[in-house]
Amino acid sequence: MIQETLKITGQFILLIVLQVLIFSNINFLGYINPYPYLLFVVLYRLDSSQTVLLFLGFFLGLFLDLMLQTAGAHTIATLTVCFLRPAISNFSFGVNAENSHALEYGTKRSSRMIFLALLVFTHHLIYFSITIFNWNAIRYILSNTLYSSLFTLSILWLTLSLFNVRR
Amino acid sequence: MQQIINAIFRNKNALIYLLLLLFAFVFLNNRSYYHQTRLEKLGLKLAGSLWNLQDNTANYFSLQQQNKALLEENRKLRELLTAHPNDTDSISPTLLPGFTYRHARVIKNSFDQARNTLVIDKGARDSIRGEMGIVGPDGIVGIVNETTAHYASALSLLHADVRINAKLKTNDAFGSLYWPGVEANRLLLTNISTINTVAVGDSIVTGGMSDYFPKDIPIGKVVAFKILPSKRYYEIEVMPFTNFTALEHVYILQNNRREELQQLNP
Repeated sequence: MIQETLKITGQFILLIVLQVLIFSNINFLGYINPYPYLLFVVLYRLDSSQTVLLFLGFFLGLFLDLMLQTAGAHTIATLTVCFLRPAISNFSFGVNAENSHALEYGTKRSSRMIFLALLVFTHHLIYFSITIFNWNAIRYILSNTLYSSLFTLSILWLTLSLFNVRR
Repeated sequence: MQQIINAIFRNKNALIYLLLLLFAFVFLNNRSYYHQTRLEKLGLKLAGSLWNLQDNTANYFSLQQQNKALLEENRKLRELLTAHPNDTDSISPTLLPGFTYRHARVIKNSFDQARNTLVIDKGARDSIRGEMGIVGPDGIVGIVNETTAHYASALSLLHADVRINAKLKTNDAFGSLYWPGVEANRLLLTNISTINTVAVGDSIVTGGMSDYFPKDIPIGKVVAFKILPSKRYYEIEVMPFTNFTALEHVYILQNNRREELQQLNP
């Protein structure tokens, strides 16, 4: 239990630091940034309390908003993704959604990919909608969402494959 | 009771989510001026249609009163016409060229807050833009702030942040007029130098030194004044001619030469 708490705290701090110092300054092609801090929401155990996740997600977004000088888009997007995560995992893993290690083994690679993609895409769509907040710029929102999602997804997929020890 | 508590526990995650989302939106609203104006616009759009519905019904029952007020205004205008039968030259102050008048109805009006606003039933589709002046039959009313397609919100003269350039009609001494709060029928005119004379009952009119209003539009009359301790300026209490607690028909003033003016005074 203590080990689990320490692990979560470590992830929380490390991901915020990495996001603020590195990933938000990439500006690929001038404007595309990945948001791999979502790894926190991905790695949070599927069988742990969702209430705790909601609060953790809220504070994760809040800290990022404060440090990245954004208005509140990270908070709203992360919070919403945390809320929708059970629905997304049920959709992608089906019966295996109860399995706490669904992201490491015991599930199909395609289901894992769908889980990640849905999570990332939902988050980015909300993030860019809130940031731009203008219905007339819907095409800009969608293109930004698409490119950033692909970027984030590749980083998340690589990270997961690197640290995934096959058992 | 037990069932209600059970229902709350069953949906606690959704409730927590909504609560935190509310916090996040308040945070967003407070941190970003852009989001604040966008959210205000959205609110205006929703509330505008609602108030319009309510106002349409209420309006029907006050038709008689409104007719009377319009007749009274007509009478005043006729009086002016007979007083100046051939007054069509362009120097006439109230007919300054370059201002277009548009009629609108007030559908929401407040006068009990520190920053009062109005909503009128004309918007961007009727060529209403931000920063246009609003006058009523008795004098100035406010300045347009935000517009949507069919509605516009305006800062009332009873808004703590509004300053209007105004002058004494008798000797053209000008100062700045604002609302100190509290009473809807007391405004303060400051920065009038003591080298001018002031008397109770003097008329206060617009000074014409802003883009919003032409000069000599009536505002109110002096009810009391005192000399500030520095002995340099007056502080004049003004009672507005407009009754801000009963606004119905107003006119929006469009300054057709505003851009030209702003080029000189960026």
